[in-house]
Amino acid sequence: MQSAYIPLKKEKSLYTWTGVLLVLLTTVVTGYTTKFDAFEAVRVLPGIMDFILTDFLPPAAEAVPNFLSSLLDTLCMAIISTVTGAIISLVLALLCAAPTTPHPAVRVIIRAFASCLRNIPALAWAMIFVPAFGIGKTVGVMALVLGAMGSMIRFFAETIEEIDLGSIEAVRSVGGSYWQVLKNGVLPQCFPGIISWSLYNLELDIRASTIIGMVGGGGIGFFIQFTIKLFKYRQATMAIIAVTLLVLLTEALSKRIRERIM
Amino acid sequence: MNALLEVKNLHKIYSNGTHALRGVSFEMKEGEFIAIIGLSGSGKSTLLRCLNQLIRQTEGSIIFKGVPVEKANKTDLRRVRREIGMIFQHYNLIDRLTVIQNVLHGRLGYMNDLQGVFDLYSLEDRRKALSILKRVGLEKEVLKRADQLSGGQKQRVGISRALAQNPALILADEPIASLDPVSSGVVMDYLYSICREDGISAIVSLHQVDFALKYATRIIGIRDGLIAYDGKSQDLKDSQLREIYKKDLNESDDRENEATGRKSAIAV
Repeated sequence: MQSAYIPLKKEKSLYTWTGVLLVLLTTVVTGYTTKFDAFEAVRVLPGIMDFILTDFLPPAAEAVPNFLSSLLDTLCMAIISTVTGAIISLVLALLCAAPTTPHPAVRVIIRAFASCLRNIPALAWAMIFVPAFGIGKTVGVMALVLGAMGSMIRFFAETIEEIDLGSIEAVRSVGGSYWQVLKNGVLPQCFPGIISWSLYNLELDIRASTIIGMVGGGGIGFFIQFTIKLFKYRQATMAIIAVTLLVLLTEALSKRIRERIM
Repeated sequence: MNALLEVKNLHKIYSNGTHALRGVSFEMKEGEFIAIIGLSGSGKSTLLRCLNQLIRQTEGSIIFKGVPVEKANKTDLRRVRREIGMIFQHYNLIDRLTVIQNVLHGRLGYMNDLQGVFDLYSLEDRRKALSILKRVGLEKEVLKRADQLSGGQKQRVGISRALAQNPALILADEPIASLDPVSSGVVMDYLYSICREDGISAIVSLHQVDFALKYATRIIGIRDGLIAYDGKSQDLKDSQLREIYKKDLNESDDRENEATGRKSAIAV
């Protein structure tokens, strides 16, 4: 006797339904535990909109000279942290990637180290460093570098591992030493990938440095936090707009650079 | 005259269990142009790569110019490698770099780390690279990026890189497998004539038997990791050729004929 039902996939739909139910259940339970009231969230929306429209707008254009130097600071902090972070990460990534690692143990240690770093955001580092070393841009840069290194080591290592091993074989076969193979075989191939990830990191760092500024890292984040605390909301809005423009500008520039490098 | 290369009882077992070489032995004198023929997977590539230790053999010895290569330390191995030029099936150029940069890589074995890392090639080296490129007909592409060349041109850059090493021996691993028949002819002509003119010995692995017979003085046929024929090309009999390229009994005769490029008397 032929079956009239032709299933579309192997797994029974029981698994799918159980999954959906679990997700719903989890949402309800966590909502209850955190006292998240969806209705309350909707109810206060008009109040929030009103607050923003009255106090935060229009942005205070006259405040621009006040924060211009802070904005520049933020940009500089982002650039320095990206460059420093990239150089350190590249060295560690070379030690960590399969084709270039001197020893498998080194690889494991660095991967573990990078994982730990990646899980601690720059903000957390800033909150540790500010009480330890004081407020200021240097501290901000340190936090940004550590925050960036975690992901950059992993990205760079992946870029290195994706290279064509045939070219490496060729430079080894002419009698090249480890360093010669590295410079002539490995680096030319990874170059676009490394620049690409570094530019991506630059964009992240600009945004991160804004946040870091709020905990004392300097730059425009500091300005935004301080104007809000002094109830000068319209100035804060102007600063936020300025940061947004900076991020957009950086994205456009990095896109151009990537196109030229490839 | 001492042998340039002595291979004794070479065995290679890969980590996945494949016994690629099962006791290969032969000697090579200076000036020979040897073609190694055999099916894919017969051990040709493995053999070539053991000669310059890109792959380490499991057992057996390889003696190049009196030096046992498998026992060489880092410095000695570099010295051995710089005298052995290698040409690859997939060219293995550094695509982002220019033609002349790729050719100059052939000099790295003669330079120290500092010079190699900072591209400090001497004027002499650069002049030599240009003259080699002229010899293979690439003088107009000198500053082009390697990935902008055709397959035949890329392989000629590969040959140039090997020549820049001033090698005593050139190993070519299926150099024309990725090329069309016309480019194949061009590349083999250059390889053969330059080796002849400069007195460079060569071992070329090919699966195109007609090319092997045309250029080589000596043919080594490999089957299943062992040498099935080692002698002059004119002495190679049809039956021996079929032995080398014989597939399992369930394969048809037509496949064999394709591989050997000859018609069998028993073919339907």
